[in-house]
Amino acid sequence: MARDRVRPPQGAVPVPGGSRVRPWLGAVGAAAGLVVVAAPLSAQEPQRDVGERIFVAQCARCHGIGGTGGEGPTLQGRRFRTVADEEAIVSVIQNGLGGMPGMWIGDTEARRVAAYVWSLARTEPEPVPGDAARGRALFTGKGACASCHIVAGQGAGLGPELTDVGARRAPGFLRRALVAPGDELPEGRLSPHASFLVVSATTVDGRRVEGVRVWEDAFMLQLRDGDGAYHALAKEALTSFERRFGASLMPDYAALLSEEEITDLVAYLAALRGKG
Amino acid sequence: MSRRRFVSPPAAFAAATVTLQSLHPVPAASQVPFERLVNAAAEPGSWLTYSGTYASHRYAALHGIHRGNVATLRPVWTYQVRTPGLVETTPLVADGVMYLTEPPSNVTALDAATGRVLWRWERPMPRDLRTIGFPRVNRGVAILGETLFVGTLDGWLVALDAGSGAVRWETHVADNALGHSLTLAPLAIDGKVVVGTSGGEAGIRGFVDAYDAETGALAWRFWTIPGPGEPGNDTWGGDSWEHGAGATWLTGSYDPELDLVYWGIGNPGPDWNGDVRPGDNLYTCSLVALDARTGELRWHFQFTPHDTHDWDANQIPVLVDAE
Repeated sequence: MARDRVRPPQGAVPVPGGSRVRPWLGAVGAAAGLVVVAAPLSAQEPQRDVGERIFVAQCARCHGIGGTGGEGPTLQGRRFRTVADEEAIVSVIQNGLGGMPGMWIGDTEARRVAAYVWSLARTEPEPVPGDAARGRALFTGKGACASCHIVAGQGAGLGPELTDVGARRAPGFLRRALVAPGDELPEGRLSPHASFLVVSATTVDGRRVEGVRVWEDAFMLQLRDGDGAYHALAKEALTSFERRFGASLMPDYAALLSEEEITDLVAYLAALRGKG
Repeated sequence: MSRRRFVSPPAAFAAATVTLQSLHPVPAASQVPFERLVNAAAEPGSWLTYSGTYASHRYAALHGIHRGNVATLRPVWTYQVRTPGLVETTPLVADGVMYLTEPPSNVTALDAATGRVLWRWERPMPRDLRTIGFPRVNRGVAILGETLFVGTLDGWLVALDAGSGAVRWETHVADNALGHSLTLAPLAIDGKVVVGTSGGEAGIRGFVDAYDAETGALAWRFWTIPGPGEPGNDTWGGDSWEHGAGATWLTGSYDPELDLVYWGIGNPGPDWNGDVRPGDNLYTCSLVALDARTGELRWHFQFTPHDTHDWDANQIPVLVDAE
């Protein structure tokens, strides 16, 4: 992604329609797609930390409100692997890291967000209920999860890899992924369309194919079926094609597992934090 | 349902080709057991290892493109690598999937018929990455069973699930801070993955390593610079063997019947100036034949004793039966 490296001048906090801000800044900000926190500073509203407000506007999309995680890792109680101090977070915010893009944000604002993120990292995350050891037994036993998921190199790579899912997703998401998997798609990292969206299609010769979408563009649909086979389908050779939002290839664990078993399984998944 | 569509002949051909392809799903993952690698020459439509076959003939025995039709070639698809830089990958093609590497050490799987991405694996490089004397390239992956193997610039060997790109295991091969790096495509033999190292301009001590394909555990190491007491160490004056270099930066060849791995070895260190390393400097600028099970040296041939011209002997050995 090409990024304009010009940043707002130091100390210039973008305020919509603000007369104190240089007039061109608004235009530049708008052109670069900068999302501005528009919070009227009324006397009754408590003065929330600017860093947190910017975080909610720009970072929570991936990291979750309060840093609970999502497409990006959780930040609560986070043990950073590559960040040593608050100053290093500023660099990550502006330059990106791995799958995270650099944010178009000035130094002053980045420092405030970094302070907020640092405070999140130092909070203790709430303890996750359930027995992780029993959850592990369910993962490899009754749940048969390894038949579709890879953890630490073991298992089959049909669904999202779970090696560090506990570091990336809050327990609430993990529970929903078990009992209502179609509600919120996982947003994986392994391919351009790695959201594991279920699609189904019927070809001109009457063959019906269903699986998770791997690639879609104006001409082609690539999907991977439940056996792991990849199918390349030209759209002009299809008589029907449906993106099945809300569907999932996961078994119905709400029916297969008891409430206690689900809680234990969530505890196991939440403990999967990869190497860091 | 039928629709009459007027299409010009090339487009019709393209549509027909794509439709036919859509009738044949690709298997769950490319399954390339050792036997297929041994007989790679029997499936000219595949490219199962860096040099095509274990004998490294690099000959594509396909007949679809010939003098009669080469003038009518037209692009069917293009794929552009994501990271700018030198692209030195040799893609592997197995069972309808193309596996290639992109700078710095990333792996991409494409549907070979359409060029669409099936999955990507990306490894961020450390900021203090050292690549001394060579560009930041990767020459490709190896495949064995349902696993791909890739060497990384920061000195790791990584095994990936061929179907999804998830990491099976990672092994630290050598310390990048000392100048070690992996730019070569690994060589997969029966149950093992063989790699070498770059860094001949950084004063390393070179080696050829074999790792267990299932676990990533080191199976054997052949040091290209003999240590004290080992045959050939006396070809290095004083302690010059400690930084003798002898990098093994290109993929070697393999003879399954003799069970020998053949590997080329690079320049001695210091490069160019041999004053501090009197002697023949074995086994730099040599070809070695190693027992594939143990890594023991069976024989060597040194092309350039006491090299002072950077005359690496890493060229890929071509194995032929000759009278």
